[in-house]
Amino acid sequence: MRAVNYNPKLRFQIMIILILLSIIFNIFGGYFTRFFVAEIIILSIFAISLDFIASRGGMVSLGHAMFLGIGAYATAILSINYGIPPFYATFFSILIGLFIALLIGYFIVLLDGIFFIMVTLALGEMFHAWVFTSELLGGSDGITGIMRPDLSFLKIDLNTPIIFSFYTIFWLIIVYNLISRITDAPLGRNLDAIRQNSERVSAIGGYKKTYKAIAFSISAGIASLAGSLYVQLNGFISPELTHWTVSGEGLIMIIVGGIGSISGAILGASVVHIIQHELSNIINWWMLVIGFGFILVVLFMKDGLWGLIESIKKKLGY
Amino acid sequence: MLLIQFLNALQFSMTLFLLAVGLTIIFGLMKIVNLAHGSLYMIGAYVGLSIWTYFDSFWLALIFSPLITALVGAFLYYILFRHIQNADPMKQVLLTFGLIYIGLDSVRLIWGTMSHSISAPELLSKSIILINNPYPSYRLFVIFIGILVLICLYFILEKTVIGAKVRASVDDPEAAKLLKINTDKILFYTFSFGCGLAGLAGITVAPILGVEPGMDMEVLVLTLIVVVVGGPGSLKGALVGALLIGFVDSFGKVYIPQLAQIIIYAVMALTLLFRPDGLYKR
Repeated sequence: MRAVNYNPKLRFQIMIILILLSIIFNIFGGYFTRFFVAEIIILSIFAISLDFIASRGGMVSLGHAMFLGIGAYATAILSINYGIPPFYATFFSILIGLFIALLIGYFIVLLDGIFFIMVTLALGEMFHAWVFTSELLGGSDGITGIMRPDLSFLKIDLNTPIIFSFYTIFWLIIVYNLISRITDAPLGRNLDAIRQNSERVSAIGGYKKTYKAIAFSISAGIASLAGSLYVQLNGFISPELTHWTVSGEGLIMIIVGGIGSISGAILGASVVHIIQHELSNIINWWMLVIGFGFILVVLFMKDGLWGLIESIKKKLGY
Repeated sequence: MLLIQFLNALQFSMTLFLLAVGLTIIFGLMKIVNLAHGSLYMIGAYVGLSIWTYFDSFWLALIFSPLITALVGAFLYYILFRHIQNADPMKQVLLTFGLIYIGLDSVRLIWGTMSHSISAPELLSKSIILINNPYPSYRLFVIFIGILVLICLYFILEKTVIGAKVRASVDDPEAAKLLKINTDKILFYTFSFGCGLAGLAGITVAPILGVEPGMDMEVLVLTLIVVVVGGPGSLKGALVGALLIGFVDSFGKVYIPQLAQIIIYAVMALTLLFRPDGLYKR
């Protein structure tokens, strides 16, 4: 896989603009807009997790919705069945996601491109099938009645939409920081090296498997966080969340945004989700349009919106 | 009872085989995993439905719907697939992912969201008594079709010049080109042929499972698993994988219904653990 987008300055600028936009929408929007903003932010977190392994790690996962599901179900089960406060449940579900991904990752991270895609797809579908039949997880009905974290000691009530949106933005900033730091840190550099020439890395004694497995589990942990926030936003979870098409849509988001640029993932998630939402309001054959859109973007916009912004900046002479 | 289950499993395996064979040949030749293969199966079933409705003949549908599906495949190859042969796997997968959306919505727009059913032709509508058990003869017919395709494929691939050319292009496209084999043409025809087989799977299954939007998703993942377990690109692998997954699924559903879904994936995981390249590495 070729080198991926890497421009920390532009990355930071786009991130700031997007965060400001979301804050403005959140403050001036109505109930529905605020809910929508939170939804987009959560999708962005999921897209960042996919972006990280797809671009840095060179692992394209079509089963990442599994970790979204693990985070979501872990939060639901921990807080409903075991009475753990939702805020801690989020942390535990991230840990569970990390741990499971480390176990799985140990076996699969060294598989080649297309094999990795197929195996993650199959694993994700296995989880989906299990969720569908499991009584503990509510089967096809899912689970309802999931509470949001109680932060009243900070005098914050997360049950108001505006506050919860800010809460998700807060998480997005943390995730962005974490991932951009990892990208610039030895771990990210090692991943770059492995992606570009894995044989040479083995030759000089690098730990391919370890680094890739760590990257996979970090990404899974972030996806679990997104899942956890998602159930807290909606208050319920349905097994549809774990279907492989969710992962596919996530990948489309990062392609639209521009792979490897982190803030591109946020951009992609926002644009795709808004278009999906608006189109499905206007016409009922929106999937047709979206499908064509996907194909055109993949074929003709090599670096997605990120590439577009970069070239505009170049033309303007910055 | 055991015999009935055996035959059901065999019938399901044959359907999976028809699907997996197309996918695996396409993978072998182009190194592309076509996620839209399930959509072609669905299109095959729907085209069959239309032919069956207008001409009231299942046999016409059986002949023409695979042909039309193959044409759809040829069209897709011409406008899309031949351009993305050397793109990276992620792009290929996402392009075919986009096709799934288009396929699903086109079917909905043309045929509506209702589920339909096709009745088996009169000749095959009765049950046959097999050792005191009545068994629908149509299912036997599906098994027969599967075996027929298997034999034809084997004969074409192993005994004819065209087959030799196809095998050459799979094994070593560069050398094949040097030997004046037109690999592009071979790609085109095999791709369309694979799509036609998916259409055949669709129309043969229609009288058993019905025709509805979303039937593509149900088989897609199973077909992918068959291909992965059997070893991508291998015809023998597709057959063995289809039998393995078909039987595990059918018997699993009868004996351990709660775990039936998961068991297939467990089989796949075990296979990959011990043979990462599938059962039959090419």
